[in-house]
Amino acid sequence: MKKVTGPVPPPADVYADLVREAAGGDPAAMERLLTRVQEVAWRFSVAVCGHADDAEDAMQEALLKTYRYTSSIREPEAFRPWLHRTVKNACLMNRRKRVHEPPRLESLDQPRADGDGATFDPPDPRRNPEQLVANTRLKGRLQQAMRGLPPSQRAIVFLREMQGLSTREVAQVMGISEDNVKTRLSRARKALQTALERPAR
Amino acid sequence: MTTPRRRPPVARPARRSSAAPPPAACAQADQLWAYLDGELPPARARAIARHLAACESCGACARRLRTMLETCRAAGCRKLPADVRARARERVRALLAAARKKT
Ligand SMILES: [Zn+2]
Repeated sequence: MKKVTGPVPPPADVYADLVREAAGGDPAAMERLLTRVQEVAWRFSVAVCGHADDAEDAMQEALLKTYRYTSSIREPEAFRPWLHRTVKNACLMNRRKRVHEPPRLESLDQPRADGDGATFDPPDPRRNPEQLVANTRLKGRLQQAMRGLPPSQRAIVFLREMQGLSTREVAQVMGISEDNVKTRLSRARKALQTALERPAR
Repeated sequence: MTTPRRRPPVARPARRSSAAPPPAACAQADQLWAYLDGELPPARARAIARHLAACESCGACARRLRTMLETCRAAGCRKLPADVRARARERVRALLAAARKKT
């Protein structure tokens, strides 16, 4: 097996350019942006809030707010934290509407009733089959492990590890200090690592 | 009946072959994370990279942390179910069409 130990830099901020183009009147960019913000809202709902039924409400909210916000935006770099904060608040609102229901977390790979599996992006063909099997197992474990985290840590893992936001951006989204983000992220990472590496029962 | 499973600490003392050059001090977990996050100054990052190449246990540890990060990144790119995607696109079309009518 190839021994890769180099850094894993977070994905770049793809929003700033898209927002600039959309605000500048490019209809294709606007369409892409509005689609993308709904994808983020869906992923957040499923991975953090655990209420997939509410995902569509959060998507609608992200769509409308982004459309309004884009026409008045001054700092495209501020869009990414703004979007994630908007999505987080939309999910919290939904949760408040259903306080009597126990929280659950939809399986990250759970097949849906209509037969369309909620799947990850196509596997990297450069990886060998054993690795692919291992990856599928890891994804299942990650989803299990996420379930065990306190909600704020789950949100921080989503923002930082899954979406690639900086510590500073995560602090803005969560409304807590950067030190607080680092502490909670480090706890969450330990818990996730333990869960991912626990021998299968 | 069962005792909680203890994980080995993240950075164990180096187990290295006599042929390998003696590595500098083993990296602490937070240093490894800072390295993987690409947050270390270049000189420090190079020192860690050298250590990871020479020290079996730190190298293995870094690969485990890396696997976890990559699993998270993959989950962040998760595809939406086809019906959800179709509704998302429909909402965008409806919104933009309504906006065009207004102007
Ligand atoms: Zn070492």
